[in-house]
Amino acid sequence: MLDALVKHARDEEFSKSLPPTGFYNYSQPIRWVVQISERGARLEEADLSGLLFARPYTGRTSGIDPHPLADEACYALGVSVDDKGKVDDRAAEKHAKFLALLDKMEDAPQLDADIRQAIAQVKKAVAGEWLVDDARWAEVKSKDWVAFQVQSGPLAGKKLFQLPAVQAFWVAEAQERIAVRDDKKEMITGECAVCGEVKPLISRIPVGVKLISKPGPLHSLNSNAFVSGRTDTSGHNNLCYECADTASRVFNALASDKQHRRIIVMDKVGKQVKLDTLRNQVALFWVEKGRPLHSAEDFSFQSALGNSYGEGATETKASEAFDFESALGDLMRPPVAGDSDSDSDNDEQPKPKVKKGTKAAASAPAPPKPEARLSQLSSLLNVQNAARQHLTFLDGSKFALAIFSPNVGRTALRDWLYLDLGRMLPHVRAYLNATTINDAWGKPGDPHHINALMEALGSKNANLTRDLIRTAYEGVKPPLEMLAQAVQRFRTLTVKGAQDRKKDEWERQRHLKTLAAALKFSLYYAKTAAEGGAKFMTGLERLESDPAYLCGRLLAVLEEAQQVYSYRQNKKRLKTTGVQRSFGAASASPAGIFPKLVKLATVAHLPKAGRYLNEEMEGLVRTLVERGGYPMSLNVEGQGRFGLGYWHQRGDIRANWTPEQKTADEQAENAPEGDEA
Amino acid sequence: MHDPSVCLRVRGDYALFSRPEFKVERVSYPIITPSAARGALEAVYWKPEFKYRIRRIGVVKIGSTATVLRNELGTRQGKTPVFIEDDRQQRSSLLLKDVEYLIHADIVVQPHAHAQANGVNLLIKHTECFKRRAQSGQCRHQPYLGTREFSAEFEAATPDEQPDRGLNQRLGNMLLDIAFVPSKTRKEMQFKRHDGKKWDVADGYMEAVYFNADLKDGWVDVVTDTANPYARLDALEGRHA
Repeated sequence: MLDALVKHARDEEFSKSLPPTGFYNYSQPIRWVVQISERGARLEEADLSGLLFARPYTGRTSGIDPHPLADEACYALGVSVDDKGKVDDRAAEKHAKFLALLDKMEDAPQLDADIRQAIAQVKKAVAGEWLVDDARWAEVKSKDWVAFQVQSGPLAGKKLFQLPAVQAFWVAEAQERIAVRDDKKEMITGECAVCGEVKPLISRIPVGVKLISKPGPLHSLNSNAFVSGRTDTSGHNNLCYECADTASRVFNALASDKQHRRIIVMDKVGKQVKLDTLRNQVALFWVEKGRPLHSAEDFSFQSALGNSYGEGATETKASEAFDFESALGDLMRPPVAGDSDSDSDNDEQPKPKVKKGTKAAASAPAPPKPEARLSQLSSLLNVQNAARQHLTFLDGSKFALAIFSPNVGRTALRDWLYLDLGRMLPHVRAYLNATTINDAWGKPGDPHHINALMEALGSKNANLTRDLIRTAYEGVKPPLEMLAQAVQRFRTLTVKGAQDRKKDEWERQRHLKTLAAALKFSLYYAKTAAEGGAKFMTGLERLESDPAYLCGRLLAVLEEAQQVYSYRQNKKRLKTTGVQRSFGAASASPAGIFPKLVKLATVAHLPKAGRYLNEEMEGLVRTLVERGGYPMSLNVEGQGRFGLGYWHQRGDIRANWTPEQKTADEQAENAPEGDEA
Repeated sequence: MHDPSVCLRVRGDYALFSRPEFKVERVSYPIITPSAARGALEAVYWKPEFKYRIRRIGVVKIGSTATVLRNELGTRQGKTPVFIEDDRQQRSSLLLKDVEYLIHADIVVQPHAHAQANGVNLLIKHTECFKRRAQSGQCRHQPYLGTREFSAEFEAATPDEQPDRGLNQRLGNMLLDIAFVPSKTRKEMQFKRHDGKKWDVADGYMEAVYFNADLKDGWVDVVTDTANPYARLDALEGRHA
């Protein structure tokens, strides 16, 4: 996993969002820039339009730890008073350490003559107290960040701490500071567990990673447990500075980007979130891009996605509106948009605090990318399956998915997938196809997120969630427990009948549809994954002759017959039918109840229910007789098929409704409870 | 290359080959490490006169990953008793499920053993001993897959047996073994060392040695005609295999 994080740092596009090695984005801006010339120096307020400047970082807390050419004013200029008037007793010591670091830099092999000359100027200006006479000197406070610039020579106008040579010096210096040492104070070297190179090994990773709560180390070591390969708490962690730092910076960049982060489970009690418990699970995912074979311009998203963007979508709009990488993670989206992943809980790189009276940051945030829809991804993957040569960027690409939990100061890796993208996409396509089902009115539906399935199941079992993730991305069989839960919930919500409150009814209908998708997913995943299975079981399958499925269909026909009869007799449809009340018994032991239901319908409802329903019922009963009659009892799989048959048949009937029937149904929806047969 | 000295097939319901950088909330390598494979061989037959060098590992079943959450002891057990209630920690482990491997290894007789061999070919002797024990299912202790709680079943294998040839994956840097390095400046531990005449206790430290693992057609080659990562281990330990 660390290896994959380090590799991802080499991604050309992603690396632009990363600070350099050994640097970190601070929440506080650089307030002052010291402009140095041959004859003097002056203070200039920093231009904050560039927002966050990455700066050298060691994770210092109470220790004295100077940074090269950019630091707090107490280090860089020896200022001892902060903005609250509090005096820092150690300012002189800090300043002396800062000057000592400048001395060390002058002898550093990484720096060329021009930089050495600039450092000499900085030393002269700082040690000679050239700035004390500056008009703004009194405004400088000990905690203000200060950077240095020279006004002449080849480095004119450049911030010295940002020069590549200075950054290289800092990497060596930071590594030296946290390296493990032997009895003779020599740095201990060894093979790095990630890059395999023999380098100085470090005792800790300076940059903590922020998952949900406060930052903690990415590696997982204890002072006195499981220490093979090292000796004790003072030992190294088998990592070199560059790999450890890079992995942490990449982790933080991914964790702070909603395109790469999904909250799987959040440990909440009421509205209170428990931040540091293993119940919390957060997924980070990314695509490690392979080598493109040829230009991706020969692929048109518009043509691939057809009408899934809706009418009137332009070519440009379509291609801009689809973020493939983010769409792959949308399988793990929260069930309700905006749920659980607010800006506040992943504020890894907060906006700089701008002091009163200083120039405000004038940069407008970049507009967020439009959300990718699973239906678009599904369309794309089904097209891509038919014309694989288009998505050339898949060559050698990898999909990485890591699921983490915080655990009392440590970060636990709960699951790790690192898959060839080309091999993974068929699994994603199979998942999307398997969770696509027509809605209650027979209209084509969209695929379902994993969290939507979990919400409909009423389950907060994180293990089940992770099993579903493995099915979606790795193609392992769907977990068995899902079918049992889906059958039970589907039956409960169906028998419950329509709700009076519109919100409750809307939620019940939404969950019923999702549960029907869960039934299809559990029962027919393998068939939908097979070639040509994209549309299998999305709607009514007239060729399916499984008795359980046929019984489900028959129940839907009998229910509709009762509704039609009721409408013709009383000019209104029923809110809950007697047949619907029999759903539980019919799905568990059809042979016990169907003869009675069919007899009742034949005598009472069907004579006035129209030709279509009569023919449907006759056809279904005939097929059932050919298949051996009503099953005595149905196991969980059979009950799942029963529910699916019921859902499909009902949707198919409703899809063929006349406008008059639709109006009647709406009236029934709005009628008070109690209209029953 | 000639046939390996010994071949063993190991399988288990669970396995955990901890990565050195994740030692508490443990995370497994995707396949068995040469270090763990050596441990399995030594469980069947071991003598201080020789050492095993893993030549290659065949992955018959790569298995799947699973997470377990357990209450564990926070510290290592020593001479003083531990009151478990005061020292409990809940930790997660990312482990492997349902795995099976073929291990091909060479027996390397230590230089000091040859001096006392009395004309016996020690390589043949120890190889035959290993084969007899593996075929009859004898072992000094039950082999395990990475950690002691995940015991392994084992059986003798032949060099012709094949792993799952459809497995291809770049596994990156993987632990080869731990070198016990004598050192005067890093006296972190003590271990036994034979200086050619007698056993002695040496001061030193442990160092992890890695190799670049590449799973090709079901095989991970550790030692090849062109590369021998054990050379670095031997150099660190001050030996010459």
